Amino acid sequence: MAPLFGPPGELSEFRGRFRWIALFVILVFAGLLARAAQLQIFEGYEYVERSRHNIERTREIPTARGVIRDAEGQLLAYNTPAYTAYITPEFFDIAEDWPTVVRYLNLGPERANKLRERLTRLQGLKRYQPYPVAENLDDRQLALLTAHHAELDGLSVEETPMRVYPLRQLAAHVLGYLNEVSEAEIERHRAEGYRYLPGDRIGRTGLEAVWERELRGTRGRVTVIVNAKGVEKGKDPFGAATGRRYEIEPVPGNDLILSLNARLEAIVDQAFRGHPAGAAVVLDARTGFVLAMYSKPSYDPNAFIQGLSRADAQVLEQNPFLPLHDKTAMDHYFPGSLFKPFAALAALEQPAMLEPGDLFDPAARFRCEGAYELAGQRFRCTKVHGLVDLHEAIVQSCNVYFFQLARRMGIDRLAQVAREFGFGEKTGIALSKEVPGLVPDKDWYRSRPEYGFQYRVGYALLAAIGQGNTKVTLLQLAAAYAALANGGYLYRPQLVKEVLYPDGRVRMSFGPELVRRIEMDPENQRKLVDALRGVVEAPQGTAHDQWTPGLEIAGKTGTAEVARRRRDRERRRRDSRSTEERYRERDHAWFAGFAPADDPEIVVVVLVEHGGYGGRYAAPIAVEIFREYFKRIAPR
Amino acid sequence: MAVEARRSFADVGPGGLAPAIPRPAAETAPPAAATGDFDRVLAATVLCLVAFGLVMIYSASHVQALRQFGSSTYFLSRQVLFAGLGVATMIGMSYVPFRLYRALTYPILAAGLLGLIAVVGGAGTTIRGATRWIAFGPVNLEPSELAKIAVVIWLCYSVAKKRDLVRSFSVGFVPHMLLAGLTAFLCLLQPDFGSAMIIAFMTFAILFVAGARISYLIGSLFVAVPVVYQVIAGSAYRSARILSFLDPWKDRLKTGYQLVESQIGFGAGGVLGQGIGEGRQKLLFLPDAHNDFISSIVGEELGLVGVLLLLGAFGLLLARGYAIARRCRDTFGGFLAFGLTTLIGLQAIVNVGVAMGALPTKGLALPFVSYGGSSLLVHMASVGILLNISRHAGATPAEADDGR
Repeated sequence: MAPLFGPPGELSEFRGRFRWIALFVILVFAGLLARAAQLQIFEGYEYVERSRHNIERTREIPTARGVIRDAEGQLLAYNTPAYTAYITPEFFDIAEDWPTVVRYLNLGPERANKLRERLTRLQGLKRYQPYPVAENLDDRQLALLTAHHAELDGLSVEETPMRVYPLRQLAAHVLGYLNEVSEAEIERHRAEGYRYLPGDRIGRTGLEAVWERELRGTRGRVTVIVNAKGVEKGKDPFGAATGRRYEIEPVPGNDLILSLNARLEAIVDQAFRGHPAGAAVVLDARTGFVLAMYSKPSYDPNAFIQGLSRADAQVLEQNPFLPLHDKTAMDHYFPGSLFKPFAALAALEQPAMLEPGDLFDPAARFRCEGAYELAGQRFRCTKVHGLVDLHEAIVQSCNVYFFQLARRMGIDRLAQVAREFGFGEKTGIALSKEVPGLVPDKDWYRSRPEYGFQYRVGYALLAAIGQGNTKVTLLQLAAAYAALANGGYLYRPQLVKEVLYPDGRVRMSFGPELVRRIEMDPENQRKLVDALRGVVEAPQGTAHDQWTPGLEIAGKTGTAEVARRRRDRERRRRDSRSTEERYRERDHAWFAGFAPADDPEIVVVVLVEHGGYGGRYAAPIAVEIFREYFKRIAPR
Repeated sequence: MAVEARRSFADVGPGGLAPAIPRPAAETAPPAAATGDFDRVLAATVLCLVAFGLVMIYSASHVQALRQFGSSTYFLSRQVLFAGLGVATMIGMSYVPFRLYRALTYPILAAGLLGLIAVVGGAGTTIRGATRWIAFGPVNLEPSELAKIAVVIWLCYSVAKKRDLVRSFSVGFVPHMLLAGLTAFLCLLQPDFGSAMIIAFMTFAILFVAGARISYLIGSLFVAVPVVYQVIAGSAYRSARILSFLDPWKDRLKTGYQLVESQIGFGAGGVLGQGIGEGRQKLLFLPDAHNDFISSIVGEELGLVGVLLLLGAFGLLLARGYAIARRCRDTFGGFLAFGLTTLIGLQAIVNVGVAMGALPTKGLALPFVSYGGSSLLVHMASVGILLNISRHAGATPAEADDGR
C-alpha cells in the first residue's frame, strides 16, 4: 500500500493526480532539453559569432583611394579628411538616444525617419556592423558628437577620406565620380573576394569606374578587445585576451597619372565661352594620348559624392543639353564635311575603282552648279563652286565633287576606308559607355527594314559628305585625323600614362598603342594635308577667317545637318516657333585639324552643337585652342 | 530497497472502487521505525551537484572575483565553506526525525514570515535594486529561501492533518490560499517576483496532490491571473522583464541584457562546449554568472552534454524524491517529501529555463550549484529532511509485507 495518499478509497484519484505531476515534470524536462538542443545544436554557430563579437570587436579601417593627376602633376581627384558618424545598431538604444543623435546631427525629419527605419530593420550580424548615419560632419556636429560620445552607446565617429575634384566641372566626364556602393554590389564583389562596406564609395563613371580596382586600395581591419558596451579597452587584467591585432593591413590605392592637361582643359573651356553645348578632343597626334577631353555642359562631380538630391538629379537629367553625357565618346554625330578627306583618300588610293575619265586625276576638274541630280533627286551643294579639282573641293567643301566620287566608288569603298581609320568601332579608350558609331555599306542598307532592304546609289552620295547614316564620335574623328596627319598610324586614344604605387614606384606604364598602320601613298597624304592647309590658309578656304600667322593649321570645317530632311526643316521654318526650337534645329558646327601642318603635334576636334556653320562657329574655337596650346602649354 | 523501488501504484490494485473509508490519522498510526537505510543515490546525486557547483562557480567567478576582490578564489572559498556547512547540515538533518517538523511547523513558519517582514520592514540590505537580504555578520541571509521551505512544510502539515477536509472550501482551501498569498505578497514587496511565483506554484501543486477540488484550483486561477497581470503591468521593471523575455534582442543592452548574454553562452557552447574555464561570457559580459546564471556557464563550457548531465542529475533527484514520497507510510512525511522534492526541482527548472531564454527572468538560484550560502544551506537541509524520510520509509520487513 502506498500510505502517502491515504486509504484505498481515495487512491485512484490521488494516484491520478500524482501521475499528472510526474507527467508535467517530464514534459518540462523534455521542453528544456529541446530548448538546449535548439540553442546548442541548431543555432549554435550563430551564437558563437555573437559570443566572439562580445569581446572581440572588429574595426574597419578605411583606405585612401588613389589620387588622379594630370600630365603636369596637378591633382584632378584627391581625398580630404572627413568625418562620418556611424551607429552600430546592436549597441545603440534607438528608443532613447535616437532623438539626441537627430538633434546633434541636425537631421531633417524625412532623413531621420528613413535612417531610423533602416537601423531598426538591420538583422543578424549586420546589427554588429557600424552603419553610416551622417557623413562629412561639420565642426559643430563633430564637436557635439565628440563631447557626448560617452553617453551614446553604439555611436562612433570615424575619419573617412572624402573625394574631391578640384577642377569641378572641368574634365568631369573623364574623371567620373563615386557614389555609395549598393547592397547588390557589395555581395557581388564579396564573391570576387573584395570587401566593400555600407557607406563605401565606388567609382560610378569615367576613370573612377574603369580604374576602380587600381584606385580603391584595400580596407584594413583590426581586431580590438572591447568591453561589454563596445568601448575599446585600454588595459585588461587578463593578459592574453587584450590588445590590437591587424587582420588586414590597410593598403592605399594606386595613383593614376593621366596624359590629360588640366591647363589645356581650361583653355578649351575658355574657348567655348558663349556656346551652351558642344565638345572637343585634343590628342597628341604622334601617340594618341588624350590631352583634353571636353564636353559641355558639364556637372560638378563633387555633388555626386554625397549623393545627389532627387531634385538636383532631375535638373541634370532633364537638361536638354545633356550634361551627364560625355559627348566625346558617349554620343555619335553625323561627321558632315569632316568625312570628306577620307572619301578623297578612298578615291586617291584606289583609282582603279573609278571609271575611266577625268576624275582619276585629282587635278581634274568638275563643274559644280550648286546641286547634283541623281534619279530625279536633287543633292544640293553649299553654293555654286564652278569648276573644282580635288584640292579645291576640299578647301571649299564642295559636295558635288564628292557626289561624283561617291557615285563612281560606291558606298562599300567609302566604308572600307572609313573602317580602316577606325570609324564604326569603339576606339577602345578605357572609358565607360563608349559608342561605336556607324559606317553603313550596301549590306547594312539591305538588312534594314526602314530602307526596304534595298540599297540605292544615293546613299553613297550622302555617305561621302558624312550624312545619311554615317555616325562618328569626336574621339574617332580625332584618332582618324591624327592618323591622317602622321602618315597612317592609327593610335588608340589613351588617358592613363602611368599607374603608381602609393610610394611612387611605377606599377604600370603605358606607351602609344598602335591600332593599325594604314597603308597610304605619301604623295596622296601630302596632297590631302595641302588641301587641309588650304582650308585655313587659302582665301577661298572655309576657315580662312581664322587664319593666324605663325600657326600652320591644317583642318576641315563641317556642318552637320540635324533635321533629317531639308524639306521638313524648311516647312517648319515657316511655322512660328520658339527660339529654343529654332536653336535645336540649327546644324552642328564642326572643325577638325592638326598643327603644325608639316610636323603635326596635336589634333583638335571641335563640335559646337547647333552652332550653325562650321567655318564660322567651330573653327574659331579650334584655332583658339591651337593658339593657346602653342603659346602656353608647349611654346615652340 | 531494490524491492521497494520497483513498487508502483499499479501494484496497489483497483482501490478506486472501494468505499472511501478514511484510515486513522497518521498520528495514530504506528510510527515506522527509523531503521531503514537512507537513500544513498539521492545523497550521492546531491553531493555531485554541490561539487560540480564548486567547479563551475570557480570557472564562472574567478574573473569577476579578481576584479572586485583581488582574489580569483574569493567566491570559491566562501562557497567551499558553505558547502562544508551544507553537507554537515544535510547529514545532521537526516538524523532529525521528520515528525519533529510537525511540531515545529508554526515556529518555522513564523521565522520565515518574520524574516520576510523584517526585510520588507526596513532591516533588509539592498543589492541591485532588490531588498532580499538581511546582513548577519559577514553573511547576507536571504529570508525568502527560508520562507519558501517554511510555507511548503506548513502546507504539507496542514493537508496531512486535514485529510478529507482538504476537499472543502472553507477548511481545505481558503486558509492555505490566504497564508500562501500573504507570503507571496511579502516576497513581492522585496521585490522577489520569482519566489512569489514559486510559492504560488507550490501551493497549487500540494493542494492538487492532496485532493483539493479541481474547480477551486481553477477558480482561484481566475482570481490569481488578473492579480499577477496587475502586479506585472504595474511595475515597469517586471513588465520590462516579461517583454524582454519575449524579445530579448530588442532591448539588448538594458532589460534583455542578461537573457541575451546567457543565450549566447548556451549557443556558443554547442554540443561539447568550449571546455571548462574556456567560456568567454563570464568575462564580465554576464555579471554574477556564478549566481543565477551558472547554468549558462555550464552550457557554454560543457555544451549540450553538460546540460544533459545537469538536467539528468536533477531528474534523478526528482525521481528519488518522488519515490521517497510514494513509499512513505506517514502521510505528513509523504507530503513533505513530495513538497520538498518539487520545490527543488521547480527551482532548477526555472533557473535553467531562464538561462536558456525559455522562461522570464526570475532571479532564482540553481539549487546546490549556484553561488550563495542561504540557498545552499536551505536546500541541503531540505535534502537532509528527504533523507530522513527515506530512512523511515525504508523497507522494513513489516512494511514490505504490508505493501504486498
